[in-house]
Amino acid sequence: MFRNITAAVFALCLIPAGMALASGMNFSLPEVKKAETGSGVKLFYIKDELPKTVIYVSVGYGRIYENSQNAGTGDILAGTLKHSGSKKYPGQKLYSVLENIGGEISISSGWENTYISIEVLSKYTDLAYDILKDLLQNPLLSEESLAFSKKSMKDKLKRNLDDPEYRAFLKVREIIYGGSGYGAVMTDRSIEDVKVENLKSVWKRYFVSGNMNIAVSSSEGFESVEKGISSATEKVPSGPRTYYTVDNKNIKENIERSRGKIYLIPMKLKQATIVKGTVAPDNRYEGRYALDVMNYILGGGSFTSRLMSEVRVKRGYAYSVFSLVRNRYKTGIFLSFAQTRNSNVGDVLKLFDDIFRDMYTAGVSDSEVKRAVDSIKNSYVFSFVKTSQIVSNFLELEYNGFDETYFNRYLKGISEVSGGNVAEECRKLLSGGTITVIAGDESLKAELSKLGDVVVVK
Amino acid sequence: MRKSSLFIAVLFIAVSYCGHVLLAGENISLKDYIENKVVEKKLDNGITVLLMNRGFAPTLAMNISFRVGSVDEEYSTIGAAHILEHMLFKGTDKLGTKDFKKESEILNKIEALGETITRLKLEDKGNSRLPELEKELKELQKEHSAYTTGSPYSRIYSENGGVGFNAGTSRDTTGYYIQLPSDKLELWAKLESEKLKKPVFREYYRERDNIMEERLMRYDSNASGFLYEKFFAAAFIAHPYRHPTIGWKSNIENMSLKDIRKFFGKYYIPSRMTIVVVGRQDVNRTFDIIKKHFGTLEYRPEPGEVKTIEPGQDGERRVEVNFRSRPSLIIGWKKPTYPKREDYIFDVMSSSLSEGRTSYLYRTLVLEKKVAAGVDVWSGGPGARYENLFMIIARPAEGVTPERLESEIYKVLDEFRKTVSEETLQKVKNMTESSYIFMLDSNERIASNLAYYQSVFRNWRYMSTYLDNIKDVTIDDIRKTYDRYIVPSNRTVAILRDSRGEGK
Repeated sequence: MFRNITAAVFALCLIPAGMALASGMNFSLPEVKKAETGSGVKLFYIKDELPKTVIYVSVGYGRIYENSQNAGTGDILAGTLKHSGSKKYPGQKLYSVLENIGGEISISSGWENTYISIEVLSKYTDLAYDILKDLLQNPLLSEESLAFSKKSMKDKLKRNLDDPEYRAFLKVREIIYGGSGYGAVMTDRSIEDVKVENLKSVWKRYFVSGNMNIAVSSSEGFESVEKGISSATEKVPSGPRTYYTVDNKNIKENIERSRGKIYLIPMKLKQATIVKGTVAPDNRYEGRYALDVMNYILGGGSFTSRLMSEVRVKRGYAYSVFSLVRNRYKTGIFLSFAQTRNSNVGDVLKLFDDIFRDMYTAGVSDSEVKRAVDSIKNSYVFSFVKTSQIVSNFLELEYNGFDETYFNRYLKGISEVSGGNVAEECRKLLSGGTITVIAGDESLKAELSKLGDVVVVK
Repeated sequence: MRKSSLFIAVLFIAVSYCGHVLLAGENISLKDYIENKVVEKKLDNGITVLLMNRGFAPTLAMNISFRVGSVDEEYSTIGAAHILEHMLFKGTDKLGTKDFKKESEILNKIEALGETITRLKLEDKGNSRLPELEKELKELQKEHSAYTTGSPYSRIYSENGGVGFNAGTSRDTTGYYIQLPSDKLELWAKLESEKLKKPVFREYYRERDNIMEERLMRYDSNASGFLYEKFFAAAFIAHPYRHPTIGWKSNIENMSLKDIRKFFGKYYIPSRMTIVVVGRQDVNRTFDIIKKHFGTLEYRPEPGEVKTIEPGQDGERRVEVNFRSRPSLIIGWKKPTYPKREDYIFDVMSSSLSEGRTSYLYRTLVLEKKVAAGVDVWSGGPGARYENLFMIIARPAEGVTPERLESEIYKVLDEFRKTVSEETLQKVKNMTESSYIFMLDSNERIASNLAYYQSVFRNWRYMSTYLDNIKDVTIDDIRKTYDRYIVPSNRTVAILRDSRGEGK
């Protein structure tokens, strides 16, 4: 019935073992043990009751580190490594070995991190260490694999560009970030420009001990895991944590330049996709708790949110409507979304603007704040139901440079949010206007012109 | 190459064991582990209850599943199962209303007017009375809004820490699910049971509009949904699996509220209902709570199974559609479903062909010949209660025509039939076993699997015995099954072409 929305608010919600939740429940989380390998890689370990081992490697490098010239490098690196494997486990051998024993490997690039995860039954844990060791020490990154990865990426890009949702979100990011970092746009050209030397250079710079964290969930004991991971990472070169940079002045100018404009991506469809967004603060911003509560009330709280209630429930304009706030290490983003038939686009856009304005002018009610706070606090436990989730959360924590007090601070911060805080954060976020992108039929131009300066995106 | 094969053979010897693993500190089989953990009970009214105590966190995954889906609809009610699922989020005579007595007076007026508008539109869309009646309906809806509290379940569940509150309708089943902290069990039981005892289908006409938007999103603006819809309509000529679960546009627009109520009364009956709760709990206490709240649901007679049986297929069927998207294709062959043994054999074929990068289709088409951007197999679409389809879904690589890819797929299938080996079967068995163990760390996935198997196959033990059944499959089984079913005359092919003329 509902469309699944990733609840960004839970991305960094962690609590220490035995902590009492707001609902009054007490329970002990399995202990997370920490260590640092000889090469300086941080290891997080949790005992799993099931006979399996999952190893997650997180390296501080992803799409947000890219610009318009090299957009796609992270994805191509992941694709090339998947295809070429390593010296001992080249190409298909990597998969033959794992799939024959029912194991799985995933190599992918996210916004801020590149991930390698290997999942096997416990009895094959040593094999998992061996594969990881060879991948980290002897990645092949061959020309042939790069060519394959680039071709796959181009095919995928073409298919993604057929998707109105993908295009609208991409365009909003591109405008806000001027085509760099969070707004870097992969093109055939940027894909083609990636060379083996670029991949090797990324590997050399980012796949270093200070920039790499590993989490293991396993039925094997801590000592044995520590030994295995130490061996797997013994040749990882030392090097510092490296973060991306963000040009806030440029972002501000980009947003200013787009004020009052409506970007129309012509796509011959019966239903239009609306995305409105703007830059949001990073995850150290002191008002982020109020922003989380604000987003819940606005469009993150499913059917209880204002957007869902006004756009879908009361008017039947859209099946899917939501908002999200994502606060990352050095920047953040606010995005809101709806899909509605072409004839309703004008009404939905006006409604969005009215709802935004009402949030920071009339404010929010105490009952709305209470509901949002209760929901966030009471559902906190669901970030800790699986051992793999718990250690993955620690990886996030480590990347963002938070210590364990963050967990308590988050709950406390949410608990202390008032209606005034919500309205104030909403005003700061939305009163300057948002970037508006519509992916829909070109005939919408006339209707949209009544609401702003329409820029048709070719 | 030979070295690689030898290495694989050595590995197979190493991993051939008899399905016993160390689970929760005991050396037991997966089958015994699951069967020992799951507690099955039956309420007097016929509801099946499945409970499993597991995990360290005080949370529960709840899943209520009904053995009713779009396959149970008639031509005049196509889409009813899905609309009904939406309407069951609207509350009761006590929940979602500020004053039900006054609200119900307006609801009656809205329904009378709404049904009249629907009828008149069906007769003549240009009827001159329609604008005035529609205006009147909008005014009544506005008046009605003053008496409702809006999305009552979502509000209560989210305040109480619920996550993943959702529902889903398929050809075969309808399910309602949520995860809650363990101490909210009784709240959930009370809300869900009352919903089934006294539902109020308020805001019907607006919800119908939302479902039209959902249809636009999933089928009319989405290449994949667009192609699947046309494919199933071609593959089945009589059986209701040919209809999309969401319903055809005209069905949704003209669906009567009366029909929704009738559908609810006929199919939402205890004997078709399975309640599953997985997570940290005292299963005896959970059962008592479920019995207290759901035990009073009224017994109603079984409406019977679908009477239409799909006639045999006497030749290949082909369908082509145009859409503004890169090309794709679906090929499907009719096959039997559970409890026929062939169903397991097709599952083994599916894994061998498409699971992992070493699978036949992926390896040959994506990696070696580079003619596909992606390829998947769905063994058992679009439902599993009745005879269904073994399907291959593929996306041609840039510059490759769908026909070329189709022809390459047939070559791989022939190759598979000729060369399928013990090693391949062992790999499939190992992958199946691992995936079962990997799945066992999720309350939600366990609950969803138990609910599905009990609802669709009337046997949750399908889950515990699955691995043994897969292990029994032989090369001879595969070849015989292949020769019988994977033949052109039993095949349906659907091709999506890019209406913009790109990527032909």
